[in-house]
Amino acid sequence: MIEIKNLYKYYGKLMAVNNLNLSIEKGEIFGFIGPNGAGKSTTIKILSTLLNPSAGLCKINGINVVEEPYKVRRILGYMPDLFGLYEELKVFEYLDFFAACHKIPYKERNAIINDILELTELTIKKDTPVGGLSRGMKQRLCLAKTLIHDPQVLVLDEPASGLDPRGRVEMRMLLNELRKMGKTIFVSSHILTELADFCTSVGIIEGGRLVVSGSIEDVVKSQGVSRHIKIKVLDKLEECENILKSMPEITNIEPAVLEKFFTFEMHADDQALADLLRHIINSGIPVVSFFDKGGNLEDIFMKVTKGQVS
Amino acid sequence: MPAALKKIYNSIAPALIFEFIYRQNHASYVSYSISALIICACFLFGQWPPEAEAAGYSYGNSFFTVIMICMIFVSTIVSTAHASILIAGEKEKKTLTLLRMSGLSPFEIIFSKIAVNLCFIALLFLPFAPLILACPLLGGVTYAIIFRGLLVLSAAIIFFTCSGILISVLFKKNYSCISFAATFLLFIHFGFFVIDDLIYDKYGSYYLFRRSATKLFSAFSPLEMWKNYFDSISSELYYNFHPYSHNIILQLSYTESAVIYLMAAALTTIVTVKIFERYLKWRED
Ligand SMILES: Nc1ncnc2c1ncn2[C@@H]1O[C@H](COP(=O)(O)OP(=O)(O)OP(=O)(O)O)[C@@H](O)[C@H]1O
Ligand SMILES: [Mg+2]
Repeated sequence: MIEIKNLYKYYGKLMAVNNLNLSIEKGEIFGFIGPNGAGKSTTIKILSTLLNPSAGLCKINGINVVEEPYKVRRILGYMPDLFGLYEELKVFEYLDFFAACHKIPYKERNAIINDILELTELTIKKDTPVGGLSRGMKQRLCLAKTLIHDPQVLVLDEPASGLDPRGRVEMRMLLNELRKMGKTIFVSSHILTELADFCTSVGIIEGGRLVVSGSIEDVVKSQGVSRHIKIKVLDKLEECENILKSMPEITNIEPAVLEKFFTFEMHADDQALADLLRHIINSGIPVVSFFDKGGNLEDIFMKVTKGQVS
Repeated sequence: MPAALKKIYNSIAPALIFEFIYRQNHASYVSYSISALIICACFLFGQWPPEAEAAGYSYGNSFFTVIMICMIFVSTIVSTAHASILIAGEKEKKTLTLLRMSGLSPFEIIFSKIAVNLCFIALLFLPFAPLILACPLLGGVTYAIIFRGLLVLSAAIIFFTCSGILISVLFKKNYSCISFAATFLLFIHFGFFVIDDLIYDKYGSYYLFRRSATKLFSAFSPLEMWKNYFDSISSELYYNFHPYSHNIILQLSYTESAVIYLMAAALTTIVTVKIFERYLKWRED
């Protein structure tokens, strides 16, 4: 659905995007993660036909973004990181204006706008002037505007920035909802953990270069970052600790005696974890829970991005 | 043909609804105060000395001249200034990106903006209509003269609107657009005279009493167009009227000037549409 090949972008001598290659299938949510100045917004602007690349090829649904920008704009919804709104309009009028721009017939507009307001939970604000909305509502309104022509591909530049934790969760639920509707979503963020639990794949970019990409598990595995495991037992704490200590690949064992659990880190794939659990149980230790907290995503992020900026 | 008209309407309707219904542009209030001022001015001019009347001038003519000059003045400044912030304003509000992504082609965006500006000016001049229509009743002008004057005025307004939009695309900030529009207006009105002066300076300083009496490029100035228009009224009404002139190299009638302005407007619009996307991609908005 989205295809990027050998993409370069120079601002004067500054290389903002450096040989970027990506391929995103239909129905995926792709998380595009990187620190400030990594080149996320630049890539996204090129994807949404607002900026010409210095070199390379971008295709959305097989359509070249440089050669046929207007065709691309018809199937693509772009939400900028910094956007303006017509503050003096009411929410409904605002959406109606953009619906009219997209040549949606007058009779159908009302129903479409009401659906979208419902989806973005703005129905009660229908007649409020846009200037009187909170930051999070403005963000959702901009997303609503992005959805008005029912695009197949959504390109969202930091949709959750500036939102409170609740707003972030709601934004995430909204994106999940949209994915269920069959849309392909390309979403950027500074924060890996924020995207990790609902993106089907992620890419980490730094200094204009894609450092890793793939599904979260692949990324965790490829980076050789240890997984954080938590195990809770009924008793036989010492025996359990001894078993763990006897394994060379297990590090940082931290017993919490009162609560009767351990946390430890381990370089292992799923098979090795299953083997470990069987071994502990076979040794007669009553295991209450065995929990993989996942690779520490912060660790991965810190490991692959070295704090350099393009 | 109706299908084509419907298509045009569909392209500009969002902008018009946006500007005049949703945003509730209050241009007419400004305009009513201006027209009130004009009525006062007309009565002042009505107090002309008896010699003016003896020379054959009549109230209708002097009223019309006052109203027309005022309309020319207002429309020149307002159409250029208002047009020049139409797109720069979107840039400043960061809404131009949304507009570009909204499925409108550059042509539709530019065309809608021009339409909005023309409607704005029309709204501004609506209260002037009864004033102008009353002039022939007072004598001294005919409806044909007025009609021609309004046509020429429309051509000028279209030209200034299109130039304003081009300026608006080129600059990022409202204030740079407004100041550039002012420079543009100064140049187009007076710059040609200065050029003529520079070219014919040597004759001017030796032979002629008035330096700006030699006309070549100055034929293109809107001031010349309006001078020709008012001269033509006078020569139509007073058989012994001869406009003062020296050494004219290029003489354009006001109709020719208006046609030139219309063609320039069309050219400017085409250029604006052509460069719009490319320029914005290059400037990185
Ligand atoms: N219009 C521009 N002119 C010159 N340089 C630019 C321009 N826009 C971006 N850059 C540079 O390109 C690099 C990448 O910028 P970009 O905006 O893509 O980063 P980003 O990943 O979106 O950062 P952030 O997380 O802060 O939004 C930065 O070094 C920035 O300084
Ligand atoms: Mg950014």
